[in-house]
Amino acid sequence: MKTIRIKYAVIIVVLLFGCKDQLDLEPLDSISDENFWKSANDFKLAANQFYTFERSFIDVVNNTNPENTPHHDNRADFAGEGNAWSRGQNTIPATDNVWNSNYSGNRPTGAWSRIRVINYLLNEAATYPRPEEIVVYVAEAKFFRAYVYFELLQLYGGVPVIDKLYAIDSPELYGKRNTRDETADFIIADLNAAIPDLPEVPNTDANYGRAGKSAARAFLSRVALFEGTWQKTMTNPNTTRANALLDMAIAASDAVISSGLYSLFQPPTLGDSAQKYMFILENQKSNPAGIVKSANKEYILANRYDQSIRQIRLDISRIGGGGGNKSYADLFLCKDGLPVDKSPLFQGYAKMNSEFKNRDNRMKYTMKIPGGYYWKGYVNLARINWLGDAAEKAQADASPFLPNSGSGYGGQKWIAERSVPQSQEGYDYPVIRYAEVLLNYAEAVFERTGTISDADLDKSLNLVRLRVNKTMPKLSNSFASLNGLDMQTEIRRERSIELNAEGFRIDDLKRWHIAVAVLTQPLLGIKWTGTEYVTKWPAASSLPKDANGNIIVDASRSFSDKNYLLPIPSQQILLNPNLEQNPGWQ
Amino acid sequence: MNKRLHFHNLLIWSKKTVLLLAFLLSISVVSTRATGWQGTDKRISGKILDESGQALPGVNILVKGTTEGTTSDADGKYVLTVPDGQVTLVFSFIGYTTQEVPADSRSVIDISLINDVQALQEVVVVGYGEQKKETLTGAVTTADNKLFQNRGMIDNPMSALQGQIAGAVITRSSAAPGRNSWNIQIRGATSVNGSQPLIVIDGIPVSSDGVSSTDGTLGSSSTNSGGNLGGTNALNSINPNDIESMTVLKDASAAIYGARAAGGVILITTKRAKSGKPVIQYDGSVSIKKIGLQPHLLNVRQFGTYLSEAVTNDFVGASPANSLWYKFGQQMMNPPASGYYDFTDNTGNTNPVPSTSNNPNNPGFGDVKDLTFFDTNWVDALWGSATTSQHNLSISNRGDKSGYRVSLGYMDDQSLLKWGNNSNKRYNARLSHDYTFSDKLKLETNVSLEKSVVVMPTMIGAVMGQYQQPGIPLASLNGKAYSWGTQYMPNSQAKYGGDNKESITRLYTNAKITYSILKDLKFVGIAGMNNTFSNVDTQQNSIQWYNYTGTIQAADNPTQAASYYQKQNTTNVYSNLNGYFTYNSTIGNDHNIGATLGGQYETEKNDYFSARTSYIASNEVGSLNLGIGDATTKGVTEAKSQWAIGSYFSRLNYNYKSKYLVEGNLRYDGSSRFDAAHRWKFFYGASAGWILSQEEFIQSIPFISNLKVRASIGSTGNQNGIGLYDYIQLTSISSNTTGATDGTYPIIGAGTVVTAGPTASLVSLNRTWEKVQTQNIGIDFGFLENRLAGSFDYFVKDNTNMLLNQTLPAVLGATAPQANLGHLRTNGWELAIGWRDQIGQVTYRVGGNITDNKNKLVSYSANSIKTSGYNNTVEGYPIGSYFGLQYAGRAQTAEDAATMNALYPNSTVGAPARTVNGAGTVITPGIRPGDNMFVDQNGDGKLTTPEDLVYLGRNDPRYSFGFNMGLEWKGFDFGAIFQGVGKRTIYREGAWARPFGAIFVSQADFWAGKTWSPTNTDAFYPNLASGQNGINYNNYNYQPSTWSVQNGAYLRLKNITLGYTLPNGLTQKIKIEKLRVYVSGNDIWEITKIRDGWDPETSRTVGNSGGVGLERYPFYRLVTFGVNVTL
Repeated sequence: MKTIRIKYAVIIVVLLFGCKDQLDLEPLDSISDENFWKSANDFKLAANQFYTFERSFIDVVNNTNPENTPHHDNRADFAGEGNAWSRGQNTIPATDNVWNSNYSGNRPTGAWSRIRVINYLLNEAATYPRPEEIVVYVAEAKFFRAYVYFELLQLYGGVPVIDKLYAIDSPELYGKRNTRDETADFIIADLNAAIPDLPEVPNTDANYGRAGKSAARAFLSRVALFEGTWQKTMTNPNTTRANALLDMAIAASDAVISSGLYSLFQPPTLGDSAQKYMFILENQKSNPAGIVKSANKEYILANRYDQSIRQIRLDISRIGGGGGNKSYADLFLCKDGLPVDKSPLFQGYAKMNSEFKNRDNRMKYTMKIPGGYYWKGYVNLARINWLGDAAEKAQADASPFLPNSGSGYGGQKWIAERSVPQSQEGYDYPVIRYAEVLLNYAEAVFERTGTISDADLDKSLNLVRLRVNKTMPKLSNSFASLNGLDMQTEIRRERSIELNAEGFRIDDLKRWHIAVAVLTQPLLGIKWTGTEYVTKWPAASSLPKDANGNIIVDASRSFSDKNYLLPIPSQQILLNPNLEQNPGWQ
Repeated sequence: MNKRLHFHNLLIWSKKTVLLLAFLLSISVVSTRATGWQGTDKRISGKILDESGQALPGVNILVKGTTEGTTSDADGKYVLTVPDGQVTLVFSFIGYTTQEVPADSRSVIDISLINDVQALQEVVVVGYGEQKKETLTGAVTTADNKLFQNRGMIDNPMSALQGQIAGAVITRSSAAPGRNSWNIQIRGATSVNGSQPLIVIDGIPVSSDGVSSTDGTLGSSSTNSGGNLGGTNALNSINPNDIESMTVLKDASAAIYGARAAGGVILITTKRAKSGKPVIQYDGSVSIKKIGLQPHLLNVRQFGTYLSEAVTNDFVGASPANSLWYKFGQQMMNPPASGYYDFTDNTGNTNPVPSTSNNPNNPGFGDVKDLTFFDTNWVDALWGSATTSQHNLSISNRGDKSGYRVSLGYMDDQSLLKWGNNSNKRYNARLSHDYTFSDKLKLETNVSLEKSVVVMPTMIGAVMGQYQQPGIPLASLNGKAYSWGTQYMPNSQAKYGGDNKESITRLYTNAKITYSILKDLKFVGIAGMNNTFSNVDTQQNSIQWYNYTGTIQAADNPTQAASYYQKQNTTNVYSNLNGYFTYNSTIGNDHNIGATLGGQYETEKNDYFSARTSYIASNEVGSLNLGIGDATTKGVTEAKSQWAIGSYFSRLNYNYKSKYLVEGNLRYDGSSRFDAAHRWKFFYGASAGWILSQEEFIQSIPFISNLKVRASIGSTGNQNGIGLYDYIQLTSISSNTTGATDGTYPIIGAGTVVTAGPTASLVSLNRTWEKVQTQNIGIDFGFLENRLAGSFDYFVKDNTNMLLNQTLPAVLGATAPQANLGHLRTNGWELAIGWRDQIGQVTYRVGGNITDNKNKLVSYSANSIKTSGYNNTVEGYPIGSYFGLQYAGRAQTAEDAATMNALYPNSTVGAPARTVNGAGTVITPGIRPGDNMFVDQNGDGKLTTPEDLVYLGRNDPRYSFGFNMGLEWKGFDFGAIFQGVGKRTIYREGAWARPFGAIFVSQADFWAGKTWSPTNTDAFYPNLASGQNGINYNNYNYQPSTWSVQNGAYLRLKNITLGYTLPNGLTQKIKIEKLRVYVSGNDIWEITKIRDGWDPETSRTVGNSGGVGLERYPFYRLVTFGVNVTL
């Protein structure tokens, strides 16, 4: 008996003193990194997360937190209202929504946390034994690294270029910023590396929604055009670099055009309303013709939604877009292809709806015409039979439209017409659409050489211009010279109209270096003095007006040179004094 | 591969543990009493006496070299049959010197056993062993089982410790049955990350981790499970009647527990069989619970009067006549005789649209169907009294080789809440057993089965809100649930909303073998396994609401779609295996040495799952099978975790002539929470003592009977804030389980995709335990033959590597792990003193203790900014500090008001704006006479935060004290325990703490009649206000300031007991050894300076209008009638 006890005592002692190895315990309900990255599918799941980085409606429609939407049109000149950024009155924040390493749960929401997660995949890919299985995901990682870095380039200029994982004691954390050129070259290199490995992903593909070859090319054209025109128009232009970049933009956009995979959305049954309904296209009946999403070959990269799978959850039909102001309304050509100051068809401002007559059809489908009937997704405010008859008009939203607030201009972009419960809309957000590529091509060609052939115009800009204006004259060199039009102005005009409320305008103003000129002018609303508005909107009598009787919505715009770049958040400079603040913000 | 191998080993190892445990347990059920010798030889009998000639029962008599023997009976007599020949009898008894007597040819052997002085000295349980109290060098306090007697229902032993242990501050945050959330802080704050003491029962720690059984992902109700099965909550189900003693290690003496000892260590020893004769004991009591301190509420007419006055004040000179609330106040002052106005029409329309236009009695409410003016006092309506009871039965016996104690316990704790089901039932069974195989080998086992069942209404949160205004009926005319517009009455939510039922079963087992290898060398091995099973069933019913006349008025709330049934299951298995050698010897006559050396391995596994279905078919039957919604209404989630700690520990003692004492404690801990290279850390404690009373020069002073000075220094660890896998990079994989409303997951192809990626946090390899350096000096004294005895200690604790968040440049791209960056310093003192004596037949004792500590965040973080009110962490200040403005008196004149108004245009302290239009007419007056004035500290002409804030005090109590007294006279015994706090600052947050902080809810009346008015300018409270007319004067006047903070000091009669033991001669006739009856009261009296009516022990947040959880449960007073019977 006794020996048995001793034996057990010995066993206990041995166990106790041999327990060192029993301290290696692994997580039981989550996957450790060691167990992940074992198959191509693991890389795919990781790449899936990058799609949450895509821009969406919240970035261009919602304006309740303007500090979080740096590309919103309200920061530019065509919106119905302004904010501290459009006024050039923004200050240096302690933190902002881009230059940070924030996460929402484990989903990265800041630019640097996104970069880390992308680099994480690339880092794992470097040691993956069968690299051929994961080329697509590596290419997607590079595409999205370019995507995130382009955001940083647009907002801050040159930023630290990071292509590896940092640890908390990495000296690089306290490094300097890379130059603007290095940053842009890094983006371009990533895109050029991604393009060959990405498949084409048209909307019929089982992977529709992923970034394909054309998306990367289209994005390259965006990046190269942005940086090319920036280099060309900045105070001390770098013509050589600008030309190289513009050549790149031409080639990239031309490759997308030549692929023949994409076309503008223009079903004949929708006629001149095709563009309007594209923006609110759903698989439920969302337009008079009952066209569904499969007909849309324009979205090259779409952030996809669907009422039954993924709702927009933004109450987007209440917020909407496209309202604009006088500068924007005056931008639309008349049906004869001439601007308002040249066209005999322009009807002036005497009546509330007179300026909307004889104009580019996109005007009446983007803005609201006073006296018109408009529907809004909500039950009881939505379309019933798509006939526009008395019954439907009876439940139209705040119709007939009578301007009585803001700039006086109303918008209808992004507003559903079908009956859909609040926040359940399911149209796709066009991260990259074909129209932009066409316009990138036209602009790049013109900016590169100072001229553009009629053939190039017909291949690009005129497709966009004529999509819903079948009878409008094409833009051609002869039409321009005949009517005393400036080709650059017309190319920029087309872009400004087509891409309104999609998050392009402020960045265009910056890359053309005209933001200071534009954003120091008062923001104007409707012409009130001497028009029908005097009786229809009497309350506006107390609003300030300019010499021509236009309502001044915002007179305090003082955008200055420093505002071409956002300040780096002050906390980051405190944490890393080597981080040089942008000019004018020190 | 390597990892897998380890895991495999662990499995084998676990099996071994289980087998070993089972083996040890099986031994323990071997017969407790050896049967007599079966030989034919001879009988020896005799009687055993002590030195004074009294019979000694229970003495072990053993035939030397055999396992045969017997024990003496109640008269000290024994009979033993021994083999013929030369035998020696061994007489042994605890506390007496063992004697060996050769039997020779004698048949009668009477002997006297001699008191072993050494053995009788008090021993104290310390880490891995026990020590003589006399030669202790650490700061150690022991509380014995008397604390748990006579107190009626004790839901957690911590409640009885309150005010009893010098240096331990014990607080509670609720009085809900089974949910009292006792918190114990030993010697003040140790870390901003918290630091609860390690609790060890019979050598086996209970889990100190926050073993959670709440479910974050499925959105369970806030009431589930209390969230934590570990720490003091693990004591919720122990039977206090089974506790023999509790020892608190407060200083470096805790270092032998290493990485988890920074908050101190509480060692609980359970009762074992004592004497040599069977003892059956029954303790039973019935207690009456009565509601304690609660804010007193305004009745309908008072409410109307003060509301009218407040609204009038808000309008400052303008007419309030159009204000809805003014009109309502006027109605309340003159309610209709019927008690209500019905706004529904009489046409049978069950859902009319009420409006002012269709009913002149409606002051303008849009969604209510009636106005009611019944005198409902919600405190009285919701809370009443309750009866709780407990019964304990134990049987114990000790034979020559074995002893056992079996105890059964039952407690039924009912609730003050009058509505719905609310109770805590506890069932206990404990078996402790020991068996002596030989004079070298002994086995002790404990098996404890504890079960507690806590039932409470699922919608208890509704009862925890600020109650509705007076006037609301408890039910509709026909007895149905009443709602006033969208205000749903809490009583009906509690009654009809379904129950939350938590059942926790704990099965604690441990076995201990002691083997004497040599005379001075022993080996002790302990194996223990604590199993905790928690099961929470929650049912949320749909409720149909009615107006006062009982016609359907409101949609169901919750709707049937929002009804749910949820089942949550947690299994927690903690195992501990430890063994150590102890060596005690005396070299020469003067050098006493002791050494303990051992190792320990602990592991804990936690396994949780939850299943839930919404849209349940029936309010009557709760089952996962009865959900009738689609797939998105059902959900399942799981959480599993495990950790392990391996340790080596040692204690070395040396003393010279029991006069000069030194002790060293060492601990080397390795944890699975760190990666292998950074896993192991040393902790140490060193202490020394000098027993002056052993010195001749002290012994010559007659009144000094004991005098010892002690000092210690050491380091202990805190592992709060350290995650289980902080050193392993995890991958987060997630997919859409919510449906179309979750926009997080992109659509690729036909559906949303699964996403994966590294988790947000970077792994941390160099993060380690917070190491707390402790220093202690103390003195123990006993004067006048130890009639006056006590001790005093002064301590300093430095947490120099406190875990804090660190901020790194954003380009890191990840959340930086916490790092050991901060420094918290705590110092304080404690004093315990007692006097006991006898005057004639009266024995009496008085004693008390007091403790205080200060703490300061020496270095915290550059961006710790003071805000008005409660601040958990501000560098340079204590944890939990209040900041606010300095009160400068009440504005009495227009000049006063103008002076203050001049300060406010640029102020950031929420001052009401003064606005004047172009014509010079005052639109809003800003500060008026009757409002508070505050000091502009920096004189910059404006009141701003943080510049003008001053330190107001800290929320943690200071000068915690307790004192007790007792006397015994003949059969009577009397005892009283007072407990209190000498200093505490409270700023009561929330709407309850001010008049009409929220307008259509009940109002406490502490301010009634005490607010400023032109005719009552000396009033304590400012101008009555209710936040109408767009100005919130209350926010300004009642903001944190030297005026608005309250003094949280209190003195409370924790317990008073009067008992009577019936004369022995009387009870012997009915074969009862002892029969005592008693009456006792808990918390039945107090002095408090709190102005707003809340109990001084309630939290600062109890006045918040919502979401305060169970803090709102009223504390209760308890009167107990009990009986103790010993057979």
